[in-house]
Amino acid sequence: MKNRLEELRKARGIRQEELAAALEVSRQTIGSLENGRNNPSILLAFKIARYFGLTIEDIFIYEEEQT
Amino acid sequence: MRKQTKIYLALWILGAVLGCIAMVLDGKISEPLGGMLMGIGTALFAFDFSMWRMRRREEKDPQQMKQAKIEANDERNVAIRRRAQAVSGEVLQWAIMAVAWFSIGLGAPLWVTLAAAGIFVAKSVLELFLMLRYQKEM
Repeated sequence: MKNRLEELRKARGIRQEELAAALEVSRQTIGSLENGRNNPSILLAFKIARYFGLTIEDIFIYEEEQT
Repeated sequence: MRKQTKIYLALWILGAVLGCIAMVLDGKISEPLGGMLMGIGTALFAFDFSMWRMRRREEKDPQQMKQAKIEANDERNVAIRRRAQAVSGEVLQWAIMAVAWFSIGLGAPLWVTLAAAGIFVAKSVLELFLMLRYQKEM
């Protein structure tokens, strides 16, 4: 699943550490979400969406796998 | 948090007391009882001392305490920890089975083979039990 987390964070001039502190997660979690190595839980996805004042769909892009 | 620190301190002291009792009464009480006292005492002593020290450090630095709590509950860290525990458990289970086979080949006493096989079966049963329990919960 792709996401716009890095783009949104940089657009607001926030450091990974600051975002991590606001969301009460580790900085490494933010890094791994931005790199797409890890997908957030639905709770964290809601927290992120609320933090940026957007919907989950605005941040996370779900693409169905082509068979 | 302070209450927890006091509990760890009390258990640490209890561990030391149990260990001392085991040493003082060595030879006067049965060997299994002495061994049990020493085992429980040293386990309590080591575990609760480290926990007490950790809590004390956290109390002195609340910011570090908050960060430690975040790190412990962080969903990525939790997932990593659970995955590592699951994989290490699986590896250990098959390693124990290998020990059982080797013990047969090396002509080890029967209890070694039975113990290894027993641990393998117990782990499998526990795994199945937990799977059924979690299926009901989730």
